[in-house]
Amino acid sequence: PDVRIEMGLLTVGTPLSWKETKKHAHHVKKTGVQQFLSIYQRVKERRKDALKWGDELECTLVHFDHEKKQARLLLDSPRMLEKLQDKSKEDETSLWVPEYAAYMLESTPGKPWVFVGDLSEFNSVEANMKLRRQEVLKLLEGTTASLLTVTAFPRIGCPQFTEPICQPSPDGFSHSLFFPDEAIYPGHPRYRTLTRNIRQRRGAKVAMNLPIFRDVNTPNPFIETWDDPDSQAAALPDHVYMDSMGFGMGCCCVQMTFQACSIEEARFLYDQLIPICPLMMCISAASPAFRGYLTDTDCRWPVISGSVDGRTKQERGLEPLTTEKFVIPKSRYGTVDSYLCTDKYNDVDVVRDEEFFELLQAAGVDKLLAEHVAHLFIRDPVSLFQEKLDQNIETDSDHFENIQSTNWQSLRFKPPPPQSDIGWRVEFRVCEIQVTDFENAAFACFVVLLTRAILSFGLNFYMPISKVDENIKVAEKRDSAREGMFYFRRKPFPDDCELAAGEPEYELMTIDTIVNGKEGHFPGLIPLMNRYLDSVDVDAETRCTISVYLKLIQRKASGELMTTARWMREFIRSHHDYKQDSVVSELINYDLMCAFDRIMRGEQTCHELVGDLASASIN
Amino acid sequence: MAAAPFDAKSLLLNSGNIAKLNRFGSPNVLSPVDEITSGLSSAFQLWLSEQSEHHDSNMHTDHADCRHPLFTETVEPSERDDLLVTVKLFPSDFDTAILKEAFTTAIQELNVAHLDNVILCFPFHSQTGSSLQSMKSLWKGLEDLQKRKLVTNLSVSDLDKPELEELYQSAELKPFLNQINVASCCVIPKDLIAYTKSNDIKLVITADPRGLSCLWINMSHWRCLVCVCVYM
Repeated sequence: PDVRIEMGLLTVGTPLSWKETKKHAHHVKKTGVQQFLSIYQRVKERRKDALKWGDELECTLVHFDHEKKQARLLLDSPRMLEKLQDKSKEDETSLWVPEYAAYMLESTPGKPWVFVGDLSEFNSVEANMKLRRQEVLKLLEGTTASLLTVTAFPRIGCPQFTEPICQPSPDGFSHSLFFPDEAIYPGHPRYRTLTRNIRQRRGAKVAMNLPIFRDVNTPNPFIETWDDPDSQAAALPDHVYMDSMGFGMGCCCVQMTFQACSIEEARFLYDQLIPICPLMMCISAASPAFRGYLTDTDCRWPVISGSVDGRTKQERGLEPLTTEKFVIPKSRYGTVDSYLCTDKYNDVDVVRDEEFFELLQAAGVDKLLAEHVAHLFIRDPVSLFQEKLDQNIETDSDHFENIQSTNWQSLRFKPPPPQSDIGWRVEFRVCEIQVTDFENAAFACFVVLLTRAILSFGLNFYMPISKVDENIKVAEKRDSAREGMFYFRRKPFPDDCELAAGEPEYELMTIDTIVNGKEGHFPGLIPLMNRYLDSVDVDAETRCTISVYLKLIQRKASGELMTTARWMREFIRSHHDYKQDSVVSELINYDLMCAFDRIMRGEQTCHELVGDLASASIN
Repeated sequence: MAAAPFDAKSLLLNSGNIAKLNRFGSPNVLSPVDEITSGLSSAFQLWLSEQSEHHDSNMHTDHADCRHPLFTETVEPSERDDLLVTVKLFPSDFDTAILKEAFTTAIQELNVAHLDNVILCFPFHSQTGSSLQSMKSLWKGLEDLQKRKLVTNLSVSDLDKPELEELYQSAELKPFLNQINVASCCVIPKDLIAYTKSNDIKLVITADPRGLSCLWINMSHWRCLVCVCVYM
């Protein structure tokens, strides 16, 4: 999404080196804050913006070598995008933009969905997703390639994982032992620049270590040795080691952005969605393997978070603060640190830039919003283009977007762009992407409908940020959908504030309880959503489609249906080539990707993933 | 609480806004029928508890006004243009006078000048039984209100295709939508889908059981139940 602004201009621009970028850092940040202020002053009173929303699907080009029985990631995005963008000019079905990797394509509906009284637009979401995928599949006809929606391709970083086969470039942009520079999207310098600058800022390669899944024959301890001293020092025993941005940003997800009618509504929605993030991450989990090994986690979050962690040693608290300003607890990719409407549950220390905080407050921005922005702006720009250095505070927003778009968080609070009729928006960013468009539509519609129920009933999900952070750690774990216990607010109705002395506001619950409710104990998200739907005159066919989507989520939450991660894990472990050593071999990966392809095309139904829930929305 | 007999021939009761608040102490989401009965019951109990034993004028009149100021909600005039106000009427009998009285009460209670949509639930449990003529006369009553610009759209509830077709053909103002209750297995009669599509009638789903049949068994003396739905 951040590239769209630049892609619209299509002037590539000259990226500055890290040293030069760092020199301009304060200028960029200060101008960015002023740009935010300019927007804020002009649009803070806007009311009655239409309720619009859209989904973003990140997809993967996979090349099948049926002779060698290998599935390799097809590095062909630039060429595909050129064709897709030409087509987008003619019809409004879709918009296509690049993402980090040269094998990734991202699409959104051509126009946002507009919330109409009878919810009939929800009957078109899945069809639109299918059409978008078809656009690519048509271009791939006659080849052995496909477009799959796989969150984490299990063999990213393994030898020969790309098509064409490339060697890793230990002296290039990422210095990775595994991820070749050719796999970074080459059509725009932004991604390579980010890769290099984050590494240079950090002073070392990024390092992600995921606990390996311990199976019967997994080496104990599991240790890999590397020639590279940087890697040798960073890699942990019994972990799967990864060393570049590609492992994280080369993962795919599904995101939803909704427009609120005012800034107040946007802030309220943002707050209520914070405790929902861990739940959606848990149910959508689809990443059980990285770099060819099964891990003890099911989500991409820890990998993608570490993959852009440009904090220096001082900022990570490993060395005393001399040249750096702050110790920063989290990577710039992480969960949000504070609520926007109330301070009551902000129990985590939020590092903020005092200069910017005071600047914002002096201009009349309230404390919570000023803190939110001042917290985002502790981060340096990590990509800067010569042509964009000089900015007009009133009419440009590039420096604001520069910092805003490189704070990758579970939710993003998005002000209107200058001089546009787009309103205040909230972006929901944690969901992992599923195998079929049916499931992706279900997840997208679920989150959007949940926002409607929240607004209709004035629901209250507030609980301490520290507990939300604990929940994310639980959500990442292997099989958290069945095993995990999550903190959640016990009484979400607005007039439920009367608690007896000593009664806790929140308690540990299973995903099943939170999503489906428990008689006499907790209403459940889906019963609340059904109550909302019952109160609106929903178009009959749409209501049926929505019922099917809710059933999917209900059953994933109850464990009756598998999460994608669990299904992938069981596929791998029951494969005849699996040696119970946590290794995802070429053959296993090939067969798994073939299964993804058949299921996606409807040639095979995966009952473990979707049960008997045929989608009612497509004729 | 007074235990005096209640003689009123008619009773007016307002449950207030049951959507915004879960005031019934239950941690779980209530079914629509439970919500209505609980809402009305709570409002009535509160009103009753405040009636003194000696001041029994409210209990022995023909028309008892049992509304309580706490259980009311009106539409803010400044917001009226941003809202769609729908009223669903459940008359107990094919009586146009009852219908109009209920309509008038509704707009007064809501403090609005007109409604966007009125959904008529035909009296399935009428003692006098229905006929084509009585259906049409009820509808005519509503058309009259529409002509006086008190309502924009007229709609129906729980009509199957033959009934809907019958109404459609004789109606001056065609029905805007037909609400149906569909069980969770989501089987909508195909002839109904086809008919509504080709005649530009919206087909929407309601959670209200058909004609609120279970409610009627408990409240067989009610003349007309009015349910209001207001949304942006």
